[in-house]
Amino acid sequence: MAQAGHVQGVDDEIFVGMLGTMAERQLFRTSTVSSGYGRAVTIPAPHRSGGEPTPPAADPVAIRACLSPRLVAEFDAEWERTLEQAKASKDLVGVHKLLNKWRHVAYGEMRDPGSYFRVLAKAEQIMQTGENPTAGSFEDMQALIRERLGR
Amino acid sequence: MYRIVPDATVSDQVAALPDDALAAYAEVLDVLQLTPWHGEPQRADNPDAEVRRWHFGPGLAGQVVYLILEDRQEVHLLLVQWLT
Repeated sequence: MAQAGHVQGVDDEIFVGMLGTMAERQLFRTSTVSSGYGRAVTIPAPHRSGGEPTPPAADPVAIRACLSPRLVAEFDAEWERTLEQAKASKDLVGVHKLLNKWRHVAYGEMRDPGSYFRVLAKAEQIMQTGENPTAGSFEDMQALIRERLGR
Repeated sequence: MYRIVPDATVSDQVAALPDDALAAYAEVLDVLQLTPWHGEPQRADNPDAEVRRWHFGPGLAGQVVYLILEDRQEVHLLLVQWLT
């Protein structure tokens, strides 16, 4: 049984993978980690293509590998709760929704570490003050969409 | 009807969406003005939370995270993402 927030056995190693031509040489960083689900796995760290990160697969181990320890704990808690609900309902829709949500969280953290909690902090600020001091224009956004879509 | 208030950062995120995602995003905006509570809560352990999300587009690769201020009838857009 997984333990929420339990991350152990992290054993990073770095090696240079030789692929194809010299131009295709890439630096890989792999991690052997406790998956949190009763087995240790070795997974490639999320790689970057042309400097841009690639979203993790819709897989709990791949997603966890992209998260900070604090977010791993949050993911694990949701994962456990969702699996229990799925076992009771025999319906996997909730599992798919959770994985999709966390793919976005992981991708956001890869592109902009700390973004998940900054968004929540912004929401808290707006709730407390009743306004967003960095609000943009909805009309400008609509104009951009109309222009792009030719409407 | 709820008033949509995007964060300034969202404008850049929307501008970066591919065309097919943008069309789906535009439909989400229409929905959020009417029934924002139909989105999923961002925190599964707090189903009534004001911070919610809505997935959109092919493969549900898009996600909008937003805050509902019910007393003001406002929906604050906080984040728009697209999994490339």
